[in-house]
Amino acid sequence: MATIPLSAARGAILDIVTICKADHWLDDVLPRFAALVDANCSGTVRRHLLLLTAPETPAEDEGRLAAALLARGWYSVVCESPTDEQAGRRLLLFDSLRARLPGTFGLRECLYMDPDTDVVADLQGIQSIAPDADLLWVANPLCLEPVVADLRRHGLEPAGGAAPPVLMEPGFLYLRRDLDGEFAAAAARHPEVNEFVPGSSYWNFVMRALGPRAVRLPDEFNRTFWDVPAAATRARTVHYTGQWKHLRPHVEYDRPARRIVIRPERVPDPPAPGGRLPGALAVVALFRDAADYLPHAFSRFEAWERAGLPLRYYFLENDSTDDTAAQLTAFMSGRRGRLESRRLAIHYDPRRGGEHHDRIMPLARMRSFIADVAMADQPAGVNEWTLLLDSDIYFPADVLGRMFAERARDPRPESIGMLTCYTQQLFHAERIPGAAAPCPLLPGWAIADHYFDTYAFHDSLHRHPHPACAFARCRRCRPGTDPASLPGLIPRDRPIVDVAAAFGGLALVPTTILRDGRIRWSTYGSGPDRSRVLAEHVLFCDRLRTITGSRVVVLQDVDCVYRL
Amino acid sequence: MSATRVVIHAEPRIAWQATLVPSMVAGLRAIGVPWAVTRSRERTGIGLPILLGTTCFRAVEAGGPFLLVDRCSFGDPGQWLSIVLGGHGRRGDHRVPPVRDGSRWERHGIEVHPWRTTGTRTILCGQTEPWSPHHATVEAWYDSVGPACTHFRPHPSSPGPPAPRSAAARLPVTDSWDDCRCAVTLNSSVAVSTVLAGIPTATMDEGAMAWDVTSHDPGVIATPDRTAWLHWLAWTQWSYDEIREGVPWPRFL
Repeated sequence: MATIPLSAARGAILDIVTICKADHWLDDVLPRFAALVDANCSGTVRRHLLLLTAPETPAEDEGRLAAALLARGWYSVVCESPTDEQAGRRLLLFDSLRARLPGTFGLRECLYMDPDTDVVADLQGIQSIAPDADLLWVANPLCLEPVVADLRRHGLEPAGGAAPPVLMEPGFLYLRRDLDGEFAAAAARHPEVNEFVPGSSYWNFVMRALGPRAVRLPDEFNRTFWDVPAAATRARTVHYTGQWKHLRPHVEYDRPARRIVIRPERVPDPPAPGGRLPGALAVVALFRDAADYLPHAFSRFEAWERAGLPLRYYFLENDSTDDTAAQLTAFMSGRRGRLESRRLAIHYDPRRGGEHHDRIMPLARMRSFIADVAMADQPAGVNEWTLLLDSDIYFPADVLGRMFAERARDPRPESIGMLTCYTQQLFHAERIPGAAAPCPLLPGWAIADHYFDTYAFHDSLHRHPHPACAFARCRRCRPGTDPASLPGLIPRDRPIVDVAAAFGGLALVPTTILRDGRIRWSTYGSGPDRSRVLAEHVLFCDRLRTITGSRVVVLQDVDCVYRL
Repeated sequence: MSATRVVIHAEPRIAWQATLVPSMVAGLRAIGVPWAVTRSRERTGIGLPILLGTTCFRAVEAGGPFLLVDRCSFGDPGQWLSIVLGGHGRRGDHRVPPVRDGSRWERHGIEVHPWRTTGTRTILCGQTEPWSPHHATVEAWYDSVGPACTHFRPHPSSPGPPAPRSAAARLPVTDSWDDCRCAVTLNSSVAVSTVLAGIPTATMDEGAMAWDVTSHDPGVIATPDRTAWLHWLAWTQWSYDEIREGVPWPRFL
């Protein structure tokens, strides 16, 4: 037995398995378990369920259960109808099933937790602990006398020791191979054990038999609820036993206040991961002479703060002649992050919309610089995303929710590495006669469903219709033309559009991706003419896609973002 | 109870797959086959994979035996599904009985039109993927047959024009079968529709479900007797009711 300190394995897959009978626990217990796993574990987590049905369960009911569980985000569900070979020893059956979970699901390793466990902190990283061990286990704070007696009676613990032996908790196991052989051998070798918790005795026998291949985890990984001080402060998971199970639906963990709150009504489950806000947000932005714009952005940031979203800010201000720098300094007072104000030494073409090397390359370098600064700091929380924002981009406070709700509609949301919006260009109505519609966010301005950032946009076939936009819905680029006659345009009914490159002035990228220093901005031109070079976002998106294998998308239905 | 578990690979956000899972499970359970369901894009190794659709689970196909349950090649997709073992289209094993009469075909209630004998247009039917050992990309196939065609029909899932440099890009786009002399496909199920509609068709890959009743050269018009093929075709698709009752599974498991 040894205790190994935790080290995080960023980006690894964590497979979490639980076992549940097809009874009321599917509705009463399992949704909270799933929601807390999704809410509190970072990185890629896959939930697996061993569903135990009775042989007499109607086939139609099993079918409905399978579909419902998949829809609730379970990655896989294996159904078994175990025969009651050991009548009266139901608990032992559950323990023996746990011993072969990797093989049951075809996993190399997995974390088993009882379904009446609350996951209240991140478990990501457990995979990297003691990689040569077959079993990682946690101590059971309850000294089960029948188990201790079994251990002593069978010579696995010295009788009359000064201190009670450390028992393991079979409701939290990290398995790197099937241990059903060891479990069955223990049961065969020692058939006479207590009837109260026979499975616990056998797991303790197995753990001792494994010797150094069974490694004890730090206690924080799993505590029982009645150990309230640990549950309220540092426990990553909290297991409910006996009478405490009835309390579980009413418990809320107020970790910052180090207390547990018991509500008279059931505590709602955390929202589904797809539609919820990111766990935290880093804002990365460049500003120059943006004094008129900043109050808009600040109002949005403050709304997110009030909603409880952990935020950190990284702003690079350069060469402003108005009070942009002063406003940013005031805003950053007391906030997490960094403000850099610089006077550029290089030649910089400040003309808006220019495609000259002397504009785009400095922009690329500035973006890369402030991203490096932001990524050098620790994230503000698990599941942090980074918001890349340009000045003069106007958006509603609920834009994050809208973007993540759209992301949740994608069949493979975890494969998306950059979310961008259908950012619309604002016009004076007289400039687009016949096409103008009022802008719902900014009275007095008109829109024509025109996607503004055509310079950065390259479709999935790397086509670049700039300065026209590639969307059939636009009423400005091809006035009087039936979009159906131009089949190369992106149809309106495609809500998530995969592209080679896009930006739109407001984009979200998982912070884990941006922490890879290769994914930064740059540009290339062709020949001695420096007047037209590639938009810096094209290379950024290309690197993001090719290095991480993830996708860049335009969310066509998030069209509530506007550019002046 | 059979000892062989099956693993249904499904993407619950795709509507037809979400609808199908309860019927699949009920049918398997009805005949005592242990089941698992997963969203995994990889082979789990715990049983025979049953893949719903071709889009999401290609990595599973590459790793060994699989059963493919996909949208039907003819008839109402809300009622029928194709089931095939170990391959796409005619390359897989549909477990068609060696002797078949017209009774199952008649259950489908599909009208078969007489062969057309007129028409001037040769329509190249677009595909999203080649699914063929003969062509690495659809563009390569377009290049090989484009010069023999007069029009291009985009695939419904990819309504845009073909890549600008492919031979198909020079053809006018059409979505009409009027005046069609010949439909040219690689292995798309559109060939089944055109054959049933009486349009002479050329299929260019042996995986095409209509291979037996089509020519394989855009310049050659084939109008064979379709009766035996229709009776074969009837056994390549199963209704949702049949799947829910477990009828097809003993043939495949």
